[in-house]
Amino acid sequence: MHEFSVASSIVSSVAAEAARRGASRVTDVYLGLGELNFLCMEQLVYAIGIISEHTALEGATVHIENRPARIRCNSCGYEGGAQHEEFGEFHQSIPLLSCPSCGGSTDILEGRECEIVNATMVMEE
Amino acid sequence: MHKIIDVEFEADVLDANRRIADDVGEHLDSHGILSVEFMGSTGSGKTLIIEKLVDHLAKNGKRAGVIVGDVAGDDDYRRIKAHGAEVVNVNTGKECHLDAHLVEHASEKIDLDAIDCLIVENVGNLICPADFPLGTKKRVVVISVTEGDDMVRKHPVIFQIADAIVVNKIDLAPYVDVDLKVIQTDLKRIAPHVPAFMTDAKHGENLETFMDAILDE
Ligand SMILES: Nc1nc2c(ncn2[C@@H]2O[C@H](COP(=O)(O)OP(=O)(O)OP(=O)(O)O)[C@@H](O)[C@H]2O)c(=O)[nH]1
Ligand SMILES: [Mg+2]
Ligand SMILES: [Zn+2]
Repeated sequence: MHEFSVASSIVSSVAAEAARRGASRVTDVYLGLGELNFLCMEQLVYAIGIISEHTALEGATVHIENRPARIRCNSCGYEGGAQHEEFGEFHQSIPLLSCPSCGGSTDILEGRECEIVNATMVMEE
Repeated sequence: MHKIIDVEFEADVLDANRRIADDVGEHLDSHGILSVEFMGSTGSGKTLIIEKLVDHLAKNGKRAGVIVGDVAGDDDYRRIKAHGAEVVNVNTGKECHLDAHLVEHASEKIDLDAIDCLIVENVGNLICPADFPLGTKKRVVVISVTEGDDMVRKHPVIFQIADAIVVNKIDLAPYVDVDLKVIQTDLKRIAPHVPAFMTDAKHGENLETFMDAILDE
């Protein structure tokens, strides 16, 4: 439930960048959301919509790319995606962080991020 | 006329917290302090375990400082204070978790040269704290059997990123029809590399084993 605080840092950094460049409007914001964080996509989009009222981002379309986890094995050096376990009637899928190759423990390289990738802005000339 | 431009950011919004967490960690390290965060579900026994940990440390001649995060109130603060630790209360208000910035400020109120161990109790929540490391050396997640046997598979990530897992209130398992084996099987599958401890913090069962493990640097 921290979508609102994350949304406000997204809106304020994009709005600040728009102001710095003298852009009048932001039409699109592209985000990359790792599968290992706890941000709920719908809530994040909703929160950005509300917070961006009366800012340069008002009415901007938010595009979210879901990013899979990347892990590195501490034993065999495997680097790549994580295995998933499907279960339950809702087909919820749990990323498993053990090494898919040897079962060893791993470090998370990617998948926890909430990245502002880029934004499309309009400059009046 | 207007012109459309594409602006690259490649900035991780969650990184701001991580950077502060790294600073907090380095600062605590420079004072030779072992720091441990307790996260976990509401009412799982975090405060009781911290109370016992403060006593355990005192018995070994070590002093504890504790930062307690709560949405409101000072109940936990007063319970821990009664054990002689230096305690700072942080009310998070509407936020559902502590963040590194709050911990950085709270730790300024503690004389870091006067303690050996800094303990942080996060707000009871199995979701949000995972995205906000606080900079402590170790992160412990505490759940209890009274929440049912499905907590681990419902919230896998927090168990996977923890340094230790406590499944508490095992004394109550028979009364709530929970089979510990179900929880243990889930843990073995979902977080096989994280040490797990089945405890009864009220009567002290397995608690020493857990405390010795977590204090072992
Ligand atoms: N029977 C039993 N009761 C316990 C155990 N551990 C904690 N309790 C009790 O459970 C209740 C909640 O414990 P707390 O330590 O306050 O839990 P908490 O996780 O700090 O709770 P919040 O800070 O509100 O999220 C208290 O009444 C404790 O005495 C245990 O192992 N067995
Ligand atoms: Mg508590
Ligand atoms: Zn491996």
